[in-house]
Amino acid sequence: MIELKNVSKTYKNGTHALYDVNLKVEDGEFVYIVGPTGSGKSTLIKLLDGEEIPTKGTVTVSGVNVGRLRRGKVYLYRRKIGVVFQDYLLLPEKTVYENVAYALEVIDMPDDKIRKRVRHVLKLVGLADKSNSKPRELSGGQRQRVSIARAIAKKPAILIADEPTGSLDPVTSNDIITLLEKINVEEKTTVLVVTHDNLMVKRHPKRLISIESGHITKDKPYEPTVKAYVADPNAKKVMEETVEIKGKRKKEAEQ
Amino acid sequence: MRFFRRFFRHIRDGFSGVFRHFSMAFSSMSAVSITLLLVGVFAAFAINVNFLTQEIQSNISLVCLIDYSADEATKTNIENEIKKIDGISTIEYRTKDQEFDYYKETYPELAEFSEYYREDNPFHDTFIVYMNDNASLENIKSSISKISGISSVEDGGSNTYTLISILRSTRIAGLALIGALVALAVYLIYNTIKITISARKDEITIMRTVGAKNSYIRAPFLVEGIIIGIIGSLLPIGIIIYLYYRLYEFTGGVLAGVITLVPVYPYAIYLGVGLLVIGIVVGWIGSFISVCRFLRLTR
Repeated sequence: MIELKNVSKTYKNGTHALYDVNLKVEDGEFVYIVGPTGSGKSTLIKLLDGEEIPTKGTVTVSGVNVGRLRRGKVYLYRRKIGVVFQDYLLLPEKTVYENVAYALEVIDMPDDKIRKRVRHVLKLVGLADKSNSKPRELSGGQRQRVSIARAIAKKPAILIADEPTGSLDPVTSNDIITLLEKINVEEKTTVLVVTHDNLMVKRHPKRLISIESGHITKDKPYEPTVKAYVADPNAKKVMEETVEIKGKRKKEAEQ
Repeated sequence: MRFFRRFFRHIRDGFSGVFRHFSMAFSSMSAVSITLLLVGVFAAFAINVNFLTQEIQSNISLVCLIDYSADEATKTNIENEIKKIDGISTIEYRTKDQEFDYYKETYPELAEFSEYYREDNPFHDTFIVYMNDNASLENIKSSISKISGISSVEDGGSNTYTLISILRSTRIAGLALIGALVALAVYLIYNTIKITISARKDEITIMRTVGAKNSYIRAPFLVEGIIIGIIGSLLPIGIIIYLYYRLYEFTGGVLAGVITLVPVYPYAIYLGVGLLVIGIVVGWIGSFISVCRFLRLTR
């Protein structure tokens, strides 16, 4: 479980990033955190990741008070969470397999177990046939899948995805969110997706937390309905585009 | 098992780091090579100065003249008092007759003439005092002069002091220069690894994100630093051993007909091993400082 109690964050330069934030995310939830640039989303991630400590209040993740972690112990906490970045952050000279295996080498997993686990996650993200490819040989969506595979390889309790679809086209973005949903269900991982892609949020409705100017302005619980999505004219457009692009790809593949 | 697994991973990552960022590694190696070449030259110089100083000092002795009136008990007392002084290596006693004979041997052309003085032998019974390498000639001379029964103490004159003093100062200056060059090498490696690290910020971010311990993040960079240090030291080791060997061979081991050079074996080997160790330490320290500085900036 993730719990933020009266959390405020002011940086050394005087920037107030978060004000008195209260938030609770249960195990196994899928949550979107949306908000414009500079709203405090990134700070929230940094607090959850242990990169920053709150100026006020407490951040508790799986029973760990993140803000009170000693500097030398943060790494142990980070092994319990997975982070996916907008720009993938893959090691360009390593293969897909090596990029994913790297996360497990770091935690001293024996080689045979690494092999087994990497094969499993690559299959899960649909890249089993790309394990020997280098990141430069992959599309943006595939790179993000590698990044996700790396993040979930160590079986984290929580997966934080920071703008995972920010650099991707609508079709690929849809695939990525679908993949995150799959991980949420199959691996029973709590997923936090930070995004400003409102369309995607509408297409894959989940609990939605809005942040503006460091305040939580909305916390809308998950309502499993597709009505809102179908009624959205933009969503319809994207869906049409998706069908069109997929059709094109299929045609190209057939040719 | 876990230790070995981790150890070999770090070695592997260190090597691949060097090859992946070869241009940066190469510039570090070049910097180390040039600096260690200078270190090596000055070290060879310092070794030779040290050798020369030792050689001169080992030949310097104090001639302590005993009063004509001193009896055997006084002489024994003088010997005991000299032995108590720090820095004395050996003491040799010569009677005035032995001194007279020594004089005759030294100046054979005056041998016949000298015999006229045998009965009124003007020489003193004498203690010849030899000192340890680093002993202070002036202090020992002064201490011996104060012993009761000593008439006077003679040495090689003020030129000896000056020469020894110059050699010592030269040696100290050489060592200081070596120290400065080693520090320079550390700085050069530190700077290059710092650039390497900022170029590999993503890699470190990934390591942190996946839960790597700081020591785990540091390790491949330290291995890289050590590899750079080793490879960077090989060239100067080769050059210095070769050049010194040629110099030794060309001069026959005696420079300008006066200064004896230290032999190539084993000193060149010592110097080579020394440079290799400096290369390793410098590479390790340089990369350690730069990684630590980077890691300190982030939580």
